[in-house]
Amino acid sequence: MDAVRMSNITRLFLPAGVRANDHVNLSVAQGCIHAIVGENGAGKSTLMRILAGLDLPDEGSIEVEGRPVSFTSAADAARCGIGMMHQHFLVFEELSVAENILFGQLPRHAFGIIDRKRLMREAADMIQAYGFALDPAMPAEELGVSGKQQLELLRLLAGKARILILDEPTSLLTEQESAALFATLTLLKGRTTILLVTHKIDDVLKIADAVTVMRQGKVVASLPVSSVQAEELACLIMGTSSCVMRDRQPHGAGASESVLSIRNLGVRGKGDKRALSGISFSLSRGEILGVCAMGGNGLAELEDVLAGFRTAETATAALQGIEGFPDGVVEGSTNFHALLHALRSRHQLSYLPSDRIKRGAAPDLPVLHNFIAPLRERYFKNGRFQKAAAEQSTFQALQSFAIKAHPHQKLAELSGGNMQKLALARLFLEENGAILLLCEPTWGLDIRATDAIHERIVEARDRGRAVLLLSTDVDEILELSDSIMVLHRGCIVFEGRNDGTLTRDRLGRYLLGIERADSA
Amino acid sequence: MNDQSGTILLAILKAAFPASVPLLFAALGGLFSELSGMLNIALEGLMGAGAFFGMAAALVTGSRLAGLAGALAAAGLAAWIMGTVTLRVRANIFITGLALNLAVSGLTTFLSQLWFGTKAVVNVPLPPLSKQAFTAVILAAAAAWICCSALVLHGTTFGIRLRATGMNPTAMTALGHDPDRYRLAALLISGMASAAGGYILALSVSAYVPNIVSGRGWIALVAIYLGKRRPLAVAASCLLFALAESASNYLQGVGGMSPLIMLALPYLVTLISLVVGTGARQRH
Repeated sequence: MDAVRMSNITRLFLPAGVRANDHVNLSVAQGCIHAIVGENGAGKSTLMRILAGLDLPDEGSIEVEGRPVSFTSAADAARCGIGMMHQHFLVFEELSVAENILFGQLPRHAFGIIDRKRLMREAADMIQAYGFALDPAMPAEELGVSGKQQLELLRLLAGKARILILDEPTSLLTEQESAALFATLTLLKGRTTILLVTHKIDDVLKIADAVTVMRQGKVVASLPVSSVQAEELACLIMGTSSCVMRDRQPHGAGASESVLSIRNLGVRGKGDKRALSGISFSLSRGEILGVCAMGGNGLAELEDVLAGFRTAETATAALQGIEGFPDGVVEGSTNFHALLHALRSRHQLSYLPSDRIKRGAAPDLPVLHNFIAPLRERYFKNGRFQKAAAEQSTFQALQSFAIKAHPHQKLAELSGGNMQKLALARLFLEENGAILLLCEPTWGLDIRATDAIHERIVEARDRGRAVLLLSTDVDEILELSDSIMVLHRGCIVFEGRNDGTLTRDRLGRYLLGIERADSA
Repeated sequence: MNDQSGTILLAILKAAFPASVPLLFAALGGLFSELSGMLNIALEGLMGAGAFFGMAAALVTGSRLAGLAGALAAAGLAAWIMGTVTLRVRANIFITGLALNLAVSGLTTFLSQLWFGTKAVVNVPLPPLSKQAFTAVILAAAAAWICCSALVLHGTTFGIRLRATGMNPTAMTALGHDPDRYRLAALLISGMASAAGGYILALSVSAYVPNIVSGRGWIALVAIYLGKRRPLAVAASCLLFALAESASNYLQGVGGMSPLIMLALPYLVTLISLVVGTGARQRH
């Protein structure tokens, strides 16, 4: 008997009339790990949201363990043993780990008063039973990414979930953490049916028993993993008959001229902790410096300081050969802040924010105005807006970056990938700029869009820009960087050339702070 | 320190405790709403409603308890309307809260004229009760309310889910709980608690005095923040503000200080604590 059988599921998104799911059929065998793969917008999340009771299908039927069901809420699905682990964790930050795990089954005395002792004991028992190392009394906000994920998994299991839906569970994990998660999933397999939504082909091959490929709202293939090759799967996902899995080599041009060196950058954190301390690096023309860290280890603070949203406590900067700026050294936090501001406003430091909506876009304005924003003055003559000129350069950018959009379309209507391509195209407007600061440039984008963005980043480097790439994505860092720097708890734990000796596994150890390079 | 200033100090301290009771009810009530993710700016209006409708009910029935019931019913109704408009129709809570504040001040004046024929003080004759007994009762009620709200918020399933609603409403929905149910409950609690506070304020002078609340609802809001949203710390903040209030009452007569400054003392303390409190939080 199949654990889940979804037949003819159709979900129409109005008003555009997009078929997010178009007569989708899915059968998942009891007790196995079934991967659902596809690009962004292929409809896999919609299908899973329907199965988890978070969205209603316009057509079609669902059977769970042989019985026909229809869900109108997450609670309905939970009663049938279906639980979903979301990509953005649903954790109550200020509650303890134990309260989070047993949120749906808090043990209590009379009058709803909570039995603290039993709560702690039951949570500790569960944590132990699944081989995790969480402290039940700790506030959930102190957990790292993988801790929060474990917590969410335990909460689903505490709610007696027999069918688990995991949405992109490895996207924020290091190699080691992914391996640990996979070990847990293997342990659960048999007793539990697991649906794994992912865009990582490696994950599928490593752990899944069966795989369903979705494209443009339809299922294009459902296969056992044992009979499928990585290339074949990539082709199915992208819908092309031939596709090379790209393996980009780092540039490795060797020492070139440094344009901006930053020494001893320090940023105050919460309480007595320091968000960043003793950060020194140097950016050179024609080179990509990749800075990698897990969430909460200082990457966000580094972005904020360099983009001028936050003032450093200590910092020294040395400039060399930036147009319009005298060579020399700038010391002290105020001067440093002013320097960054000047670099930005005079188009020498172009910034791609990690929060592309809040910091990088005016979603309600048309594409055109979003595009020309950094160099608006160029499109005004005697105070009059040069509409034709603006339209023309926007059009050119849309074409050369293969962005599916119209200059007068609202930005909010664009897909994440197109939005990001537009943001990048905009940075290229500042063509004489010395430095590119790119933060999480491909976060949440699918393979195709990621590839296009990566291509452009390399192109910018080859044209002689100094690129500072801040990313939590290990693959991206390894693929693009000429030099790599790893932060852990706000300190540099590794820095070196990306000469092929740095493996994902070693990088993972630095990211987790298990190991630190002696040179750092 | 001479004898006289010692007595004044003692008197200030003694008066601060009963003076803190109305604030305590409103602030801890407002805390429920704040923790559920909605800052209830209508505490001031709800206190006013409690004072007016409570005293009106007490006047009609001649009973303090019936007055309390009237205060709770009126404010409960007002909070329910506010909650329904905010949660069902998705109106902005600041607008509905502001509307409630304005509506209460208009409605009480209008009804005061209509029912009692005056817009000024309405004396409410009640069965005799000594000042000491009254103080003892309200202090006991306040102590019970502090314990009760701390226990409910941190030690019951209802309280944990109410706080969880404020922390992450999306997660509540995804886990199959309705955040709006907890928010409506929180609003009702804040409304009724504030009304109890307002009613106690009016009872302590055995009369309905227009504008008797005079900003205490707003000060209660500040106490929530100053207490960093923790019940006991919020209660302590209320006591601090009550100290300022009773100090301003006693020190008006003392020579060398402008009575106007003294009258402004509670508000000055509020302002200073707000500035210092936010500063401390940022450093944190």
